[in-house]
Amino acid sequence: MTNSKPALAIEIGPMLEDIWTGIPVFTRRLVSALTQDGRLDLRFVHNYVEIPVDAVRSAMVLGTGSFLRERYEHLAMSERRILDLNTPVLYPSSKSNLGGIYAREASTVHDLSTLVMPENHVEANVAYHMDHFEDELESNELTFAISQSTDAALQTAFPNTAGRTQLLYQYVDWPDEFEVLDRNSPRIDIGRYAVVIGTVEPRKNLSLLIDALSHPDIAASEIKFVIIGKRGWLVDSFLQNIPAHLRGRLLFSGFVSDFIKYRLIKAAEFMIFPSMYEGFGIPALEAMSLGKPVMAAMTSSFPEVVGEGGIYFDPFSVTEFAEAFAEIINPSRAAELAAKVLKQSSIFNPPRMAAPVVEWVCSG
Amino acid sequence: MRAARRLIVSVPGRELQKIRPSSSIFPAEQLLDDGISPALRDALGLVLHHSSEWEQPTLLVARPEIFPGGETLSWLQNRIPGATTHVAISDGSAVKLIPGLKNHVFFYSFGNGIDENVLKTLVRRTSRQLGALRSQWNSAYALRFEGKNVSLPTTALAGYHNPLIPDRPLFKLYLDKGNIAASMETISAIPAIDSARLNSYSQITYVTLTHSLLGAEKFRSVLGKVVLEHFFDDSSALVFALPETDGKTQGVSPSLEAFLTAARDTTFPIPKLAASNIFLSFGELSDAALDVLDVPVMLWLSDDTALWRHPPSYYQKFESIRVYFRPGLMREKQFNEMAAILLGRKFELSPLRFPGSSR
Amino acid sequence: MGRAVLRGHLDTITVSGFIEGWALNISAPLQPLLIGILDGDGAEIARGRADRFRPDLSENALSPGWNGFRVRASVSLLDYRERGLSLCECASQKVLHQSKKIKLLEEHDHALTSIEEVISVDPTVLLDIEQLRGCESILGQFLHAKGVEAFIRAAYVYVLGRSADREGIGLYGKLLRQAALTPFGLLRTLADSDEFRSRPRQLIVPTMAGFPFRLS
Repeated sequence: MTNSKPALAIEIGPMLEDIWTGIPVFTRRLVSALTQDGRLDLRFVHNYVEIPVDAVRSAMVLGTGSFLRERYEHLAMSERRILDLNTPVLYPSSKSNLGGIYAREASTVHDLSTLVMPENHVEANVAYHMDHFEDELESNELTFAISQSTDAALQTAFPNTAGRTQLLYQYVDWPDEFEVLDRNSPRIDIGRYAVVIGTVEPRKNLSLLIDALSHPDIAASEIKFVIIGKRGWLVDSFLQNIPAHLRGRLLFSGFVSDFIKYRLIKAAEFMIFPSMYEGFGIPALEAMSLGKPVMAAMTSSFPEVVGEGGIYFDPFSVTEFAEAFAEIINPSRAAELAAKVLKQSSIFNPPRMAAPVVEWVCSG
Repeated sequence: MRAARRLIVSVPGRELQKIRPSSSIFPAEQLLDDGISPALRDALGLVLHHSSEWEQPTLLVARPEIFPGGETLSWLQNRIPGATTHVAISDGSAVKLIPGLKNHVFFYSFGNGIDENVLKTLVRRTSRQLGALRSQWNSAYALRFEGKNVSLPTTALAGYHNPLIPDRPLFKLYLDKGNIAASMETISAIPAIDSARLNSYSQITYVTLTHSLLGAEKFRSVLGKVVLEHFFDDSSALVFALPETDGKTQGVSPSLEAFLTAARDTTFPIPKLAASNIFLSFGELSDAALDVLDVPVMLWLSDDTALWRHPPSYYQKFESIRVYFRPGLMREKQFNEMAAILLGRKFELSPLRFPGSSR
Repeated sequence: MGRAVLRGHLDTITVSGFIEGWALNISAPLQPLLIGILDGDGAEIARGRADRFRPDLSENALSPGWNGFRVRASVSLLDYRERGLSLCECASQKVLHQSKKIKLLEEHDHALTSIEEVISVDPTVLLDIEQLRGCESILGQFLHAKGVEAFIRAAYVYVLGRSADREGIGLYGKLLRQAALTPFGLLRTLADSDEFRSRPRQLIVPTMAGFPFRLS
């Protein structure tokens, strides 16, 4: 019996990473969404070579690309096949090549930070992303953008992409067992706190929180700030700028497992996301999926992801940050927001991620 | 009744990392008091000087790129009422656009002269974005590299005041083509002279250099020829104003090294002795130094010298002005029209070509 | 995987409101069972996964040690000590154990009061490589099914996060084939290495989907 479903090959290069964050996780969610959708005959490719489906499925279960990479590197000659050029190919990130090899190609733009904020990247990284970017866009039949914000930036910088872009929204998918694991774990009682997404990388804007700690309204509050993520050696220089009696308000988690991240978000009152610029801002969605409102900078993709589930502030303004803080800790306002966040997070789901891809494939 | 218009300004993100604005949008003049580079202060000062035509005060948007569209753009637009025009003061690494406004770019000299390679890279990566700009302020770059063409008209804003330039001693040129480091040491060891001593010469050729001009292969033959000519005619003086530091590197040695390397690489032999009439100044001569000269001074400039750093009245001091021009880098007609406004007088445009090549 | 052979036991209830015990499918001991605790009327008062490490279980040949459970009750447990509780496997609804008289532990609620404490009780990552000792036979099954080289490659990736080098494959392959080294022994050797100690990594527990040595 022939498979009458239209075929789509996904370039799984991002999934070859050992630790999956950011784009590898986006790729995993994309594959999962399309698998659940079921309307396409999904195949996988890396650098033009077809990858066995079972290897990719196994990697998705394991949640790491280490074994997939091993399998790819040790593919027997008899297993190696060049993907048919007529198969549509979707790159979940950039192509890293000029494109135009396959009859139908689409790639995904996550953000344009290397273009618009090159000072935050090493030149080699800027070159890697931007040197062939226009050519990549030209060779795409369609370019996916992971947010309206990225799409708008794309069309401003590259007006000839107008009419050839499409949104590709991801979603949050906590492992099913996390809820029951959390319920059966000892209670967390570190006092009232907000989780903060930020690192010392300038774009993440942690310095705004550090400046804001001295604001009278924030200094007087009992709320602590749990900063999730690797601490980094530059943190100490940041901490020096904080009065000693306020330093204890900042708690650094260091690198934690996904489950601990889940627990910390779930036990928090809200999330603070002061980042200057994000392609999508998946941590905000993670917080909202767990019923937590978000205090977010009024920048890039935050309004479309957080919607009415959050309070916004000027990313440079301590005053606005403090005002947003005062609003989000107000119990009646917090309850209002909490009522909206689950609904807002639910609009990002697997069918919504799969649909534009299926539509593109079937339009050919 | 027409709504009161406003100009919006943005600056490179790298400059903002040195200071911490307390708001995304603030009066542009506040940035003049912050720790920005001297070159940016000059550029911003010029823009603000010319902003009196706008009915409303000029505002600076710290990071236009974080408001790309939708609700964030609406938020920004609500906080910049009346904004019609945006000028991105750029160091060539990026050009920022604000949707809905007329966007312009001002490539300000970051250490006297935008790096040509930086511009080529920018065009290669973002030619469409540059094509959306209305004009380039105070430059006439062709923005035509590797098959990509961006036509960008020029808006000329004349200088309005002389920058504060300190009096600088003059060092005698010495070049050992085989040993740049030793040459630099020798130059430092020879006693410098006061610029007033230049009055003892019959005339002065004063060459203000930029990094990119020194890097231009075609300029090396010009450099070698004029140096050699002055070795054989010590009645006139030759003064090179080395490019100012670019803010990235410390000290003036990189400029001296760049100059000596360019001189080394000319096809002209350079005598290995300290010239009596060929001088190096680490930066432009001060106004005071020029004002005391009562001999003719011929000014030589690069096409990417920041002509706007001085008002047209400054350029009247010179007997003649010659601008070395790179046809591939600049558009000639556009440059001529711009320079006429910025210099406020006649000048000679000298296209840089390989020796022996026809026009 | 063969037919499910389910076993379980209710061990204790605690003053702090937890019910403890163990449950497993002997045919697939690393596939954690979702269990429910029912009261005498059949109402569910707690639910959770039987995936907790219990050193005493690992001494039992039937369990690799990862089949304990500790679930939080939704009601006060003091009344149920005499009334009895049932342990039920949720998927099959099979009752694994009924107890009329469960031992009460005077253990009081201990909340986690620091980030470090929260991280220290992460049930998804190993505290110590020794917690895998009870998985020796499962590791052996993997080695037998996939081959020595595949096992070594998986071990390197799991412990060190990198591909195995040729020297390692050669050395450890020889030792494994000669039975001079057991599969768990290899994991422990890699975890004791300078490389691991200088860059320690979080190792996922065997009951999570990311554990690479499960055959199903």
